[in-house]
Amino acid sequence: MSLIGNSVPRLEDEPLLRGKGRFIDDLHMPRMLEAAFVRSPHAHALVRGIRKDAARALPGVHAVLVRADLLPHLRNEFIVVGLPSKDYKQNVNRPALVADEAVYVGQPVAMVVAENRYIAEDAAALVEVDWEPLSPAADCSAALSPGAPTAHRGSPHNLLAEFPIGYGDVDAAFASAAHVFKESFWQHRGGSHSIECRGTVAASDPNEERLTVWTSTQMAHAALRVLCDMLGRDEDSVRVVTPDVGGGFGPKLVFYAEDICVALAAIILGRPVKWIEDRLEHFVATTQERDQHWDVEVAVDGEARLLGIRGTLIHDHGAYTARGVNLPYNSAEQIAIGYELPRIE
Amino acid sequence: VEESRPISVEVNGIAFRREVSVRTTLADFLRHDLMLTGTHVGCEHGVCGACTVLVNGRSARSCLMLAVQADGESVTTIEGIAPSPTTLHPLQQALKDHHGLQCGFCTPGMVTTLIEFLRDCPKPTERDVRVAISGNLCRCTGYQGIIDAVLRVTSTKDE
Repeated sequence: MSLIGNSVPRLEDEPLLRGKGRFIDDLHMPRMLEAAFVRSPHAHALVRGIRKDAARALPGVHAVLVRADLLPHLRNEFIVVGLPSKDYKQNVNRPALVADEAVYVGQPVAMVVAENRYIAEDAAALVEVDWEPLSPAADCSAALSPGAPTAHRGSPHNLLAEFPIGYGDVDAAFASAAHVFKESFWQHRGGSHSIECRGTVAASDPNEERLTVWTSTQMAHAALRVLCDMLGRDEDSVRVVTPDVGGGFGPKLVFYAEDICVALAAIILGRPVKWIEDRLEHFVATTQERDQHWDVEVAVDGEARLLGIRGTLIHDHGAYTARGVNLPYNSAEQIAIGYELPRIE
Repeated sequence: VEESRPISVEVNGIAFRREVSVRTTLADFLRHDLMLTGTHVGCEHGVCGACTVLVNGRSARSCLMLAVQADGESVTTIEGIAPSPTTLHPLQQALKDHHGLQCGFCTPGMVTTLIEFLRDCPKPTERDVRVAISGNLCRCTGYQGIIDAVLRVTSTKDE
């Protein structure tokens, strides 16, 4: 049967319609524990100390893990995104857990592993973090002003990358234009909000020296690569499985701190560990789109035909590189796609 | 020690007796205790509708209801909708035929919501359908396939 011109029935429809799908939170396995994260309530703050005794003492709690507990098991504690660019002016890779400085609301600082999620959340509320709030860089436009507070204490400034795009003689287009219009736009931030949030389950099999990670991801192979790099393992000792995914919309392209933490908890505790993101976590800990400030001019001839567009785009990259500079690149470049546009800069 | 209580609940025609923690939601009880994972949890705030089940035939958010509140009640989940392992409910078949689902995560809540709706309103208009599913969020389909499916199954829209 030709696939072209024919309606092809989907293999997955019937199980999904019967409630027989297999999404990440549908995975159950013997001895499985559940995790909850302690997150930063501050956009920028120092961690002066973490007291986990009260949380650890709660019946049903198996572990309260902080950065120091993870480091012996990591070759590299940072998530390095494989989208290099010569335009970076600084590297800001995400750590598995906060060392001593949290740089966004929702950043994980500790992980509680317990018999079930109810107990894990009880215990997470008992973890005491001694915070010292610092000035945040909350607006990407203001953050570029001289002397603005930096998102990271040690950064010289808040400019992550800078690059031009364009083609054609734009100045000539504006010089010959019958009309020029100038406008500023603020494209506000948005969340993607798949109806299924993120989630990861990991199990370490000591007999076969194999780590298996089930995760609600759009990019299983990238997840495998990052896990191997961070754990210092070969690809034949790690397996990444994508179950049914309840929507992705981009944020599930990204490998997250929670993914490596769940894998590490399974290795450290020798038991399967599950973490399922709740909606509040999705609002604060999952990547979001834009927050872009555009200043643009358009040049047109006497019949309103486009001659050229020029301008600048300031894009909020967030406190870390969770994805490459392809987002602002695509935003700027794709302006030209819908039109016959001879020149852009 | 967490307080727990015994409950008796009928789920998809089968009687269960279980000891449950008093704070366990009905959704978690169905998913974790009975392993009926077709009921999905999307927001735990009663907003997204993915966890909708039928309690004594009435749609209910299983994330906003405690398992102990289902004591003595009859619950129908997505696993209890199809008449047999080889036949889908006409609504399920229509969703399949009219691309009423993509990722399928919201689908169980859509189906249970619409089962109740079609029982009360067997000949709905398109607007009726839109209002009926206004409490169920879907991010993939844009809703049109779901609405087409409902209108075809009620035969109020010509082929």
